Amino acid sequence: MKNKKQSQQDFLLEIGCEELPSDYMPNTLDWNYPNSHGLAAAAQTVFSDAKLIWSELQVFGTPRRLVLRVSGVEPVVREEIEGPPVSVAFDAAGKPTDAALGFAKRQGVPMSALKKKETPRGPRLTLERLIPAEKILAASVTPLIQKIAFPKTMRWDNSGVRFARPVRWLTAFYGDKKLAASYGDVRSGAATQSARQGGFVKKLPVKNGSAYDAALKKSSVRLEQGCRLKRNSDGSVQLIPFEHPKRDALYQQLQKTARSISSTLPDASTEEMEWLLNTVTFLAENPFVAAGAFQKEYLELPPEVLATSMAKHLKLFSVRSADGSKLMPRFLAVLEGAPAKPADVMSNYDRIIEARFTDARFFYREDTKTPLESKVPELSKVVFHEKLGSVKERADHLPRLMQRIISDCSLKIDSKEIERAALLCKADLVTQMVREFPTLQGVIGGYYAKQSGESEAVAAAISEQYRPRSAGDALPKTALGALLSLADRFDTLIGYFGAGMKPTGSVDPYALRRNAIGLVRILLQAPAGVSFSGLSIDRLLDDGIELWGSKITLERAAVKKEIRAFLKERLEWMAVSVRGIDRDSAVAVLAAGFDDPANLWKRLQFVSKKTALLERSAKIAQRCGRIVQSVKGLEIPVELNPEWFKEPAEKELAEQWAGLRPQLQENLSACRYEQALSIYAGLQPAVEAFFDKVMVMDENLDVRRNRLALLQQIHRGLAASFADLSRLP
Amino acid sequence: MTQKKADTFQELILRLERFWADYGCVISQPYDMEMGAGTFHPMTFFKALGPDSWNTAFVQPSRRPTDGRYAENPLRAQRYYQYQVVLKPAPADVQNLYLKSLETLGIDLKKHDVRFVQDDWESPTLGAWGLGWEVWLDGLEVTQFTYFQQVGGIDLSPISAEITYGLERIAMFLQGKLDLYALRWNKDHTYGDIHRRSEIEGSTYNFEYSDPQQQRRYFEEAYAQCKRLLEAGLVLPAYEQLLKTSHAFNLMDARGAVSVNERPTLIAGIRNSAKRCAEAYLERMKEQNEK
Repeated sequence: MKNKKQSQQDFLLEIGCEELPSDYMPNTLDWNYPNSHGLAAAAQTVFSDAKLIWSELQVFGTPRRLVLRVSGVEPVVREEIEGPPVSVAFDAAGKPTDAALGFAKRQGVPMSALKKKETPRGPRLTLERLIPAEKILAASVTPLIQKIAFPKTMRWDNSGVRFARPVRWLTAFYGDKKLAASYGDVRSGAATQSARQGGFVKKLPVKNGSAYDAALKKSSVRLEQGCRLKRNSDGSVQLIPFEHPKRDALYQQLQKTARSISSTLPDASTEEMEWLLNTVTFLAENPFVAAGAFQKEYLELPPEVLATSMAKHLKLFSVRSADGSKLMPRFLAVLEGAPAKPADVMSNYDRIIEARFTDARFFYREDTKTPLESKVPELSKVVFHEKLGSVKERADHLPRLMQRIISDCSLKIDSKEIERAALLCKADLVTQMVREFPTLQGVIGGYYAKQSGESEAVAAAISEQYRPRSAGDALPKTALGALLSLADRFDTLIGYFGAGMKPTGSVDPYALRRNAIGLVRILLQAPAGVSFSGLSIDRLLDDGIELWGSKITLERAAVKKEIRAFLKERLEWMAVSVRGIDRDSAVAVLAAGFDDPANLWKRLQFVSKKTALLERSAKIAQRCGRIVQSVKGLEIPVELNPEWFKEPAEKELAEQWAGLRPQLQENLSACRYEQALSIYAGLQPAVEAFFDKVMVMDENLDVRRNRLALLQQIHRGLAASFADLSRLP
Repeated sequence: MTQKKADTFQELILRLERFWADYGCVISQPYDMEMGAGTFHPMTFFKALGPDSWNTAFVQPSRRPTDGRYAENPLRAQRYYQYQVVLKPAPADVQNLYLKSLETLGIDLKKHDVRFVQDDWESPTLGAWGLGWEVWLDGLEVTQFTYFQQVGGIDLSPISAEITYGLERIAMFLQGKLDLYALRWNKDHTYGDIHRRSEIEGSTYNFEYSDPQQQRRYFEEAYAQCKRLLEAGLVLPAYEQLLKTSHAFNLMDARGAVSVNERPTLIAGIRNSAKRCAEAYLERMKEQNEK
């Protein structure tokens, strides 16, 4: 055993290529393992097929190389080849038959090398072979590279192999031994390449696997970490948590440089920042951070325009003043290596970003020559979806949906402002600025609305209408903004679902899941001073379906049902994954409906606390509810008929229930759950007495139905509007 | 080694011609018809097809009617110059070769930030696509670098590398001016001296005077003519008709005369012509080889 341990070696593979697209890298390095198709996932599959034994596997990468490191690779792989069954392999005299001799010949071994072995298919003649790991590793390189999946692949020579960009070199070692691996026309060698310095790359000799790190370090190549896997002794594989050292160091460097120019970087958690950080991490092998500046006059443009232009066109980081209040006329660039004179490079960046800003300023000036309202008619030419008509038609739905919400929820919002916000909210789609920067839709509309003399509230609502754009994005802060966002989201869902375009599996081309998550977030967290209490999702869906008219091609009731189920899934996800509610509580609460979102969150919190009071109430609900649910093929009446009560215990229960029911309802509608449950739990002795003394399933069907009706009422007492506690375990 | 800076527009072109001639390229001449990019030049479009090796380099004036800005935008124009290099098969050190060509222009790369940033190139009208990069010099996009995968809808083998230098952009970089019209063409003349007037007139024509109905007729006639010429086995004349359809389409587009719904149909029409031209060219090559 000891001897064997010593001979375990590490495997190192470097796939050297021309610059890979930065957007491909997170998946290629399996950041989202096991839902990834990168190098780690490929290696795991290929090694498992080859029965290779290893202990830990890690991947790393830069735009010009993907690196696989596998530690503790057993030097040999035991392979068993099954031959003929023993019963056929030997004749009566115990001599090998032709079948046995033929098998030995095909395998190129003498008969003496074959052993009898018990297999799942009975005893068989078996050849056991030991294959050196280095042979398996060398042969695994081609299939392993082929298995890495990219959104687009290409050919670059006549070998016919494909990859995201040309593979130009391979380095493969098992311990200190160089392996003869290949991919297409590229053969492994004893060299790697440096990072680009002044554009060009140098060959760097690598004597053996352990010299690889030093060679990279010398040339300042900074590898980013990818997925890390551990192989258990039973062959199963588990993910070891890993960090993003290169990206994190780069972010720190960016922060430090920002401080040196008295500025701050935006929070790294927004979707835009995360994208930009990942992008620059994978745009340089040896990142170097430098600061640039632009003329103050461009600050007259909206800061979002400047920041988006910098990020999108040149992958630059915009910075804000130390207190975060305003954009600074500075930016940070991530360069490939330190140039001889960073200031010269940055002055070029300065001029290029200013040229971009000049373009943006041209758009801004052109767009604001006429008021925002003048652009509205053009929206009838903008197709929202070919089956759903124009953006204008859709925007026309919004006022009624918004009116419905404010009347349901008794919100005090000026009707004129609603009309104005709905009319103008999509007008920026036909501006030059939004054509150039589509992600700024809404935000630009807000600025132009203000320019056109619209009220603050209308401008803010237009600006906020797409919030939250992503998981990390803020919610609308104004009442009108939240209202517009809700109406817009409901309308979108109804249109797509109604025309048969709901998401299926992982296919969600219209981002309806994201839309619905935003919707439930706003419902659960209304802006300060606003409550969506009283909202009826049902009525809102009815209105929306009516507004879409003939564009809804599916049956209306089915559309409603599907959207409700879709929203329920999102709410459950939100409750469990985001708010940390246990799944049982979430299921129980959502089963009692979510039409009034305002009290939903309160109910969730209350139920998830699992107090003794709740446990007692749950017992009642479970005893009553489960028997009712188990009844098949018998209609249970809603109302009780006192004539059919026979036993004193059931009469007692019915009386108690009738006595406390109004109070229970009153407390539930006022969201006084503690009081409500105290009342409900008071039923416990009567319920127990009932089940002790009364046979629910009486032979007389009328008696039986009446008893079930009573239990159903008690069960529904909470399940109809608070939580179906019978679903708790 | 880095040379003295190519400090005029024409010196830039001369250096590139010299560099690629020394490499062994056929120095082709600009094609004498309107086209949107060097890729439309028959020396690229046809020569990328088939098995034969082919290295070429040339300047191609390129027309993008919608990019006209009446000479008011320092970076955009409706007619500009591309320098195109096609290397078939793509050599393994093609990135390096390209970087050396920048050095011969007098760009000291050690002093600059050079990046190869993902660019998936596609020409829907030519049925052509490839993968590669836009090359950034201190953030300025100066070149498109593409490994052609398909031309005329046909899978290529061998694969060509296409390097398209944005000549004006590189000149801006070399001359330190972010204004196309201020570039020195030679010692005595600026780019503006030579092209400002024609750029204003070109923009005016594209946006105000070109007749979309007339262009539509040109489009349809050239489209039909392309088909007839292919039936007669005249591949290059047929392809020239395709160039006319493409330019007519661009002019209609500049007048906003292409509706959202018909755009894909018109583009598919041009693409089908491109496909037929490519197939006819390969067919003819095959016949020649058989003789």
